[in-house]
Amino acid sequence: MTFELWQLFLAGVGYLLLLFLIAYAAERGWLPSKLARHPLTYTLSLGVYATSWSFYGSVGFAQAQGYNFLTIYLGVTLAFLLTPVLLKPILRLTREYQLASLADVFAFRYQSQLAGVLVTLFMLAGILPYLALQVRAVTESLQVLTQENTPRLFLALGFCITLILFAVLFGARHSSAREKHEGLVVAIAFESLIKLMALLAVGAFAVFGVFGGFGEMDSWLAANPEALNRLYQPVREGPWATLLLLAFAAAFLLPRQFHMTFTENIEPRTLRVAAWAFPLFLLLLNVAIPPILWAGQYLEAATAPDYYVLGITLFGNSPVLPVLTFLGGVSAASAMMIVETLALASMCMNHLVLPASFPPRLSPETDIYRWLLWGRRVLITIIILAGYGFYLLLEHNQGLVQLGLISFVAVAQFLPGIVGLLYWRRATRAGFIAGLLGGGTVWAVLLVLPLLEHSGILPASLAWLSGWGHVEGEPWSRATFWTLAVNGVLFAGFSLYTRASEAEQEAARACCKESMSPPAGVPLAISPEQFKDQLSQIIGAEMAEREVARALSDLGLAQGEERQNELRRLRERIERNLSGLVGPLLARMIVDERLRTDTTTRNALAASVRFVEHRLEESRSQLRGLAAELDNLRRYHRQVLLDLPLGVCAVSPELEVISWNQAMAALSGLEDYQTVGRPLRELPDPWSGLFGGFLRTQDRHLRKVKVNSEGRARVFNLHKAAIEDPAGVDAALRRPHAGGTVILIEDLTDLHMLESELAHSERLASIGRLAAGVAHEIGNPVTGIACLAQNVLYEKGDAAFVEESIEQILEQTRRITNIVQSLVSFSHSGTAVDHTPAPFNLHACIEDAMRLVRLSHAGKQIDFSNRCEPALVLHGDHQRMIQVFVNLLTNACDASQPGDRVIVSGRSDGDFIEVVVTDYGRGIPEELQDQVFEPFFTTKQPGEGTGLGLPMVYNIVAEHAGSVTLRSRPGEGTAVILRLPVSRYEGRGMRDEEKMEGSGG
Amino acid sequence: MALPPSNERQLDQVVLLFLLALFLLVSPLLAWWAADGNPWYLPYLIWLGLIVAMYRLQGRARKDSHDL
Repeated sequence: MTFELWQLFLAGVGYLLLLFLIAYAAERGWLPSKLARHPLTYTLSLGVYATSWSFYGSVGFAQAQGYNFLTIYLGVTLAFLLTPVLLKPILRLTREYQLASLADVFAFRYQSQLAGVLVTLFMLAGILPYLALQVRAVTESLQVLTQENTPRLFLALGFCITLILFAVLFGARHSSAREKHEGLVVAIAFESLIKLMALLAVGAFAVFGVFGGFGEMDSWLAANPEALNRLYQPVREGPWATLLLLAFAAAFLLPRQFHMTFTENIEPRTLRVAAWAFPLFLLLLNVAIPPILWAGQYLEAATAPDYYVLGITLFGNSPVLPVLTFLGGVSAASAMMIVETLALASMCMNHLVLPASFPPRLSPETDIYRWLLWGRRVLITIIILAGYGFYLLLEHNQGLVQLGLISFVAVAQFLPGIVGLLYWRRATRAGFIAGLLGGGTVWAVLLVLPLLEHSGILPASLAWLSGWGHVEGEPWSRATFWTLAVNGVLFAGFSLYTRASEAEQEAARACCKESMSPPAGVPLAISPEQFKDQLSQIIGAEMAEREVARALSDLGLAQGEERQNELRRLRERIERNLSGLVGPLLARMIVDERLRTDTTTRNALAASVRFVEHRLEESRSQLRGLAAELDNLRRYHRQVLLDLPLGVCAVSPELEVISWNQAMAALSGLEDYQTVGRPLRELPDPWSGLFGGFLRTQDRHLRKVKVNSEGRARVFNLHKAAIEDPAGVDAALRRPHAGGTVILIEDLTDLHMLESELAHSERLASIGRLAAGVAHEIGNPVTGIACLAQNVLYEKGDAAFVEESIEQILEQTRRITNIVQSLVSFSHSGTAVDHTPAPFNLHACIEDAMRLVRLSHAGKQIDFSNRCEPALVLHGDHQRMIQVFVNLLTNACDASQPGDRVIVSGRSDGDFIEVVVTDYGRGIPEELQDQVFEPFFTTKQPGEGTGLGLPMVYNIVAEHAGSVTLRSRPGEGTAVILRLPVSRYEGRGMRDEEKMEGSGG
Repeated sequence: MALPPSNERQLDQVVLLFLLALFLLVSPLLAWWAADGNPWYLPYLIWLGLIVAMYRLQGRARKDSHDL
């Protein structure tokens, strides 16, 4: 069966149109977005690895090298087995720093434009023969199907132009490689599917169509054992290990593999599925190769073994299979050329074109996005045409495999650089460049020059050099060994001999995930607006506007952001986004030049802590051994702090909130994300004033601070401590010194309410004890009033008597009123926070208390003496101080004998007022003196005392920031000494009032 | 203190699997499975075994962690 050229041309054009349609449908959203993000789509898109070399050349490779052809896919399987330790870190790095190609990665790691340029040039040199190979495979497959021997150069050109169109339309829709191309991914996945279906169909045809079934094939193999032996023998004798190593490197270092695996990866989790699914795809792709080879041998097909895949299908009756196979070949070649070209164009743009023209030749008026977009399109065209040119030049006798393996040895030269990227921080740019130059030179001499000589395009002056490459047998082991040996020795030697620059060390730490300190320096610009102004001077106003807006949106920041830490993150983000656009080095140059930083300002502690925590959270899955244990310990301590039932707020020396635990969030109603990283002064009221004021004072504790929060009065105890142990923090954060303050906050509101209720109970108990006296005190005037009223009734006519009697009645009534008012005032139940401090006269306060105590039976028999200085004024809670003196005087009465004296003296003593309540009663035994301030401790008979009197005295005096002490001798009496500060309590009272006002209370 | 995190165990297993693959593919064992007379599909069976092992490892990792 033969085909006409026009038939195949139509089939090819139809297929490529279908490909356009699929890509267009995915780009326009006609196909569900889930499809592009599906792990299987991603896996199939990685199938770009299988080019026409795999599709056609594998059979030829198997014919020549037996099962050695499997190494090209087993090497990839080995690389994908190492996904978590090899591919995942690279993917993370490329996404985090927006690195679009291997040249970007190396330029970033080694902070060298020269490294980027060399990688790009080396890739170009290594990949151009490979591109030529694809063009050749398509034209040769046409020859097989049409049975014509003249190569169709114009068809090859047409194929190249179609690919240029496709690559420009679907691979370069955006100005940079940082945008993902869903259409491209889906189209490449579709191409892989076609390749797989075609090869499986040809395999099935070989087994069932040619042999008639597996049984027959096995019989043929049994009859021709040398056919199977020829597959196994080269494995034992050939370059098996070398080819495995080359394929291992090619799996992720070939530009197209790097591009699809990392740059076009839409959903990072899909890599996990690809780790097993991609090797499975390759296995399925190759399982048909031996049967196809044997079918070709069995049929004695006239085509070369490289094209048995196509040749045996011509023995069938249906034209469908040959056309499907032809389309499979077109798929393999076109997918490879499109993706490879996109990847190379991106490298050339960032490392050859931009460094030469950006800036100063571009003016801010240029639309850089447009410039970049068209630059990439022109580069794509040039690269594909260069591939075509190489195809014209090359001698067609070279097998497909030879051209492919030359590229594989070329990309293997990046293996030492990858070691430096992921694992060896000591590696330097000098080592990398020297290794690459050395390895590249050996590669050119051993592999490229013989190829050129073979094609007749080697200048005669270089002919002597190509002699080095001539060897008996296969050249791959020797070439691989010598290129990698020279490369590795130079890489290691120069790296050990030279020292990395600061920027290089920082990049190395970032690549090895060891960087735990945020970049030093604070941006001089103080708002995103200023960022735009600065950037617009170099990249134009429109681009500056878009880049700043994009970075703000990436970080979830507002246009009005002014926080220093956030602005620094913004600067970093802009640099990374620009890196995706113009490459890492140019991005850094732009940012360094326009968004200058003040490197003398040290990093804020809050920012450093957040950076380290963020980094640790990100890297958790990478921590191993001791580091993982330490991280567990850190998490445990952090959780202890978070779950602490006290509110914890840590504040940096720059007065920014570092930590805000759950209890603090519950107390304040503010979640940690609203507070952490913010300056203290930006917290809402009352917290900013409360904490700010507390940090300014020298006091380490503030007790019973009353605050109006969330519409209700609250009482807090505040404690603070300087955060010490700066050594530990310094080492981790690389800071000159650390510090800050931790504030603990206790919510006493409920406790305070309880205390008030207890105090009220105590007052009621006191009233109960006073009741008998009160009854007596009220009974006497009532009796007097009754007598006087009776007399008035009998002596109505005596006006003078009546008047005198009425005055006496009124006098008695006033007496009763006084008694009742004192009782009412005393028993008044106040709540926890409504005692507003106010100045009051201490002498009058003591007098009030004495009057109340005199109402009791015991109090009547005691001689009270108020010797307090009449002018003393205390600032505090008048009512509660009456309670203090009532309790002390009642105790004094209970301890005294009838007729004894109880003296209350008061005097000023500097900043304090000292009040002494002295009785001459039985005193307190020494062993009990320590217990009398404990609640419910009493020496009185059951029912006579609650045991709350002295504890309440203690509490009230403590609230007034005073102290209570006791001096007692059994049998001689007791003196209770109160020391109450005038100024301290006055000062605190003032602050409380200010806060209440500040919080709207 | 908690056991080593599951991701650490997974990394260990991945490295062990890689070493096993190397042992099968680039050691004197190669001469055993590449001996004349072996079924033609034996290399594919070994290959499939490695893929299944990787699938099981990844499946376990998916249950344990939700990161990248």
